[in-house]
Order: sequence, then C-alpha cells, then structure tokens
Amino acid sequence: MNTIHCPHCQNIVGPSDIFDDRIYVKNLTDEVRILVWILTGPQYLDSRTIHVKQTWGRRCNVLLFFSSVENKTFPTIGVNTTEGREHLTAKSVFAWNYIYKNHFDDADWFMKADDNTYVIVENLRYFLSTKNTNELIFFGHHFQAINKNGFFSGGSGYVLSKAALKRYSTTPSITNKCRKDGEAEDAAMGECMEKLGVEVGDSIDSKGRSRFHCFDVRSHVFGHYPKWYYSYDSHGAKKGIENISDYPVSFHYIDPKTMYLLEFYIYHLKLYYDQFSPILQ
Amino acid sequence: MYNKVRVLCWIMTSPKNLQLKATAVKNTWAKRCNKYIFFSSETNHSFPTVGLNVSEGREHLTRKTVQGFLYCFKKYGQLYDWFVKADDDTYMIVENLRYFLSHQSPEQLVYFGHKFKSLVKQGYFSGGAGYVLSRGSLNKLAKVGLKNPFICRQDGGAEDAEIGKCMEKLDIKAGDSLDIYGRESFHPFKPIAHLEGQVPDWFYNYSYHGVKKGLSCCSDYSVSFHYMSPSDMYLMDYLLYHLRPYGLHPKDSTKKIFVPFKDNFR
Repeated sequence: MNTIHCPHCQNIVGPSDIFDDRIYVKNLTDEVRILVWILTGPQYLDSRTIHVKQTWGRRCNVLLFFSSVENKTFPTIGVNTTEGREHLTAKSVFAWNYIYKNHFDDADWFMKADDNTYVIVENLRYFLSTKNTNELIFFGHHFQAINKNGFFSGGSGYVLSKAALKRYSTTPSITNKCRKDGEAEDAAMGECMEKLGVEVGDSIDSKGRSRFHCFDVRSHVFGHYPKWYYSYDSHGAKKGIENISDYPVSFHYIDPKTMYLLEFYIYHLKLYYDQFSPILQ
Repeated sequence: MYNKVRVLCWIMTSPKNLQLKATAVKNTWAKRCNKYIFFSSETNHSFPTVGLNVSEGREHLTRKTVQGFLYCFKKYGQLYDWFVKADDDTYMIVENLRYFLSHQSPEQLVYFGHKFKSLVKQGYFSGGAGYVLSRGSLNKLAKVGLKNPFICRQDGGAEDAEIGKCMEKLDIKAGDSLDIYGRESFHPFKPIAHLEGQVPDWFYNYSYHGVKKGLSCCSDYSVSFHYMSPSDMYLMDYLLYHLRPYGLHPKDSTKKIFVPFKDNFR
C-alpha cells in the first residue's frame, strides 16, 4: 500500500514479535466482542484508513470499512452513494443495516468510528464489560444540542448495544421517518435513536472523568476547545488530566503520525515500578 | 527502589526559563527524584534556584556545568548514589532511570547517557538527553578533575564534549545503556523524532550506536527525551502516569531488560 502521506509510518509498527512482550492479566477479547466500522472514502485509504488498520484496528474482534466505493483488496464495502459530507448519513444508514444483516452474531457491541479516531480497545471492552448489551442503550461523547436527547459525536465514536442495533434495523415504521441522508450523521443517528426509545448511556466514570473524546489528547489535556464546544458538551467542557479517565476509550482528529506515537506510548513505553515504590503522581 | 537507588537530579535553567520551562519540569518529573536542584545564573529564593556565579549564554555552559557538579559534590556528594544532570527541556522517566541504575554500581567509575562518537575516543554523552554520574565518578571529578584545568576545562567549548574529555582523562568510563534488544534509553530528541527517524543529518555522524527508527529506536524502559516543551511534559505525564490500557500488566515478565556495565579494560 502506497503511504505517500506518511512515508516512515509503516516502519514504526509492524510484526515486532520480540517487542510485544506485554502480559495480559485480564483479557476481555472473547468476553466482550467488539465490532468496529470505519466511515471512510477512497481518497483516504492510503493517507488515513490504512493506519487505523495497522494500529488500533488490529485489536477489534471484527473491523469493517465503509466507503462510497467497493475495494476488494483493502477491503472496503461500497455504499453506492457519492462521496462527500452531504452523504455521510446515507453511508451510516447503509452500514448499520449491513452489519445487522451480516454480522449481528459476530459481536456483542457495535461501534462506529472515523478514519481519524483512535480507540483504546482494551478500555472500550473494560467499560462495556459492566453494561448489558440486551438493554436498549448506546454510548459515546455526548452533546446536548439539536435533538431533545442530544447526540453522540461521530468523531469520538459511538457504540450500540445488540438490542439497539436490532431495534434500529427491524423497526421500519420508525426508521423510515429518520433522516436518510445529509450531513451530520451523528445528529441524525441521535434523533433516530431517540425516536426508537434507545437510552442515552452515560460514560463518565465514578470520578467524573470522560472516556470518549471528540478532540485529540492535547486539546482535552489543555482545554484548547472551539467556542461551540462549550455549549455542546454535556459535561461542562472540562479540561485537564484530572478530568480525563485513566482508561479513556477514544480520541478524535488523530493523524497517522500520532496514531503510531500513541501506539508507542500506550503499548510499548513502560513505566518501571516494583511493589515497594510509590508511583508519585 | 526509591530508597535503594537514590538519585539527585540537577536541572540547568536560566532566569527567563523559570516561569514556563523550569516550572514544567518541577510540576512533572523533578519531584520523582530523591532530590532535585535547579541551577541558574541567579539565585531565586522562591522558585527556588541556586545561583552559580556564571553569566548566561552558550559560551559559559561548561562553566555552569562544572560549578553545578561542584556544588552537588560539596553538599550532597555522599548522600546520594547517582547524580543526574539535565536541561530544562529534558524529560526524565525517573522510575526507569532507577531501574536502569539498579543494575549498576554507584562506586564504579562510570557514567551513562546517550553516547556520541568523535571528539572523545571512548565517546561522550549528549547534554540534552541527560547524563548520570555515579557517586564514585562525582567524587573523582570534583576532587581531582575540577581542581586541575589541564584535566578538566573550566569554561568554553561544548559542555557535553568538555565533560566527556575530562571524564576520559580521569579514567571514568562512558558506560552503555542499550537494553537487551539493543535499543537506546537516553534520547537526544523527542519520541516522535526518534520513531520516525526525523533527526538532523549530524546525528547520523555523532550517534555512537547508529540511528534506528521505528520501535528499535527506543527501549520500552526509555529513560529520557529532549526538546520537550512544557506542554509535551504535561502530556507525557498523562500518557505515562495516568492513561493505561486495561488488563495489560505494567511490568514485563521476569525478563531482565538491562545488564550491569562491565569495565573490560581493567
């Protein structure tokens, strides 16, 4: 795959058996199965999507890519719509129905993410391990805007329970009234889920810290937010290390370089500690 | 390990860098050392910084460094096992530093850091990446080297190279800090620069063990990075001390990542 936009990136993460010596003391891969679908387009495959595939995408139980064009080698599933922001909702509607029809039994939870979202899959499993997938619920970074129930940011990724996905795909009496195309697929989804009676799940931890993030790590640590965020974010647009979970699930606007950097920080660089030394914060 | 491997960290700063850079060091990694001291050209009682009688400027870095070591020796030379010199844009992962040093002997005449070739036959260490002297080395440096301007240059030149020449004359060995996979631990640039191989051309001519990019650049137990801005440091603190992937044990198996430095020339 031609990585003209990030010529060195492919050298950073590859088959690195001798470096992958982490021990999983608690592996939830089989207990909490995750299907992730990435919303992308043919023009992004080389510059963005391939890097999702090579980094965090590997940790999902099932990983699917939806684009306006089918690509058998990548592979991407073709949605039969024109490229562009105005057709994101059509892509999303197609993807959810496709997944219900073809992969319903392959996972316990179903997540939509962008090709510039970075997901820490272990933390997603950890969070969902205490939730019930037979409940009508979905989770993500919540915005209180546009709809009565608000909606979850598409960029931060949002996750549907099995029950929610089933309700979505098997209730044409309602979904036929949901917006079928246009921009802001996340707001459209929020509105549709509201009509279907799916609960807006809360993912703030017991210490009041966020798990799903619609911006990149730096922005949340330092509070570099655009104006609109202060009226959209449901939890007061907090910032700083003390307001981000130690087990964050997602960040957005992550370019390929930063994806590999996060791989290094999260999965390779380690902090040595023995049971006798306090980790001084 | 905090009590077994006692580390004094001294950070070179300047009056104009106190508010942002030195403060970031103080708020992040410095407090993880057993003791930390900030040196500057001026004394500042509230920060606090110890004023060395040296003007600011690159031409006086050697003198500043020499004075810094002398001060540390006089006041703390017998109280700590290792003495780390860093810049105010160096980020040290102190727990990993202790882990590395736990394999070494504080009495041995050795010091560690990121090794450069040229200028000094046994190699010398990048100042920016931080370097660490054993108690034994600091003793000899202060008692013998710094008393004799023919052994140790008192000012001028490049600080890291001058200290390097002086250490070689004192028969203090430039130890190795590669891990068992051959990866460096002390780094003269930021993580992204090393990972991507986006380093300046001169680095290829200087780096003693060559330049590797990708995951081979950097030990999982890396000790230091350089050119870290204040926000890089706060971010590093979040990524290293807070963010974790659930279920992955923070420690490796019982594998030994470092080996003791053996002086083969005695």
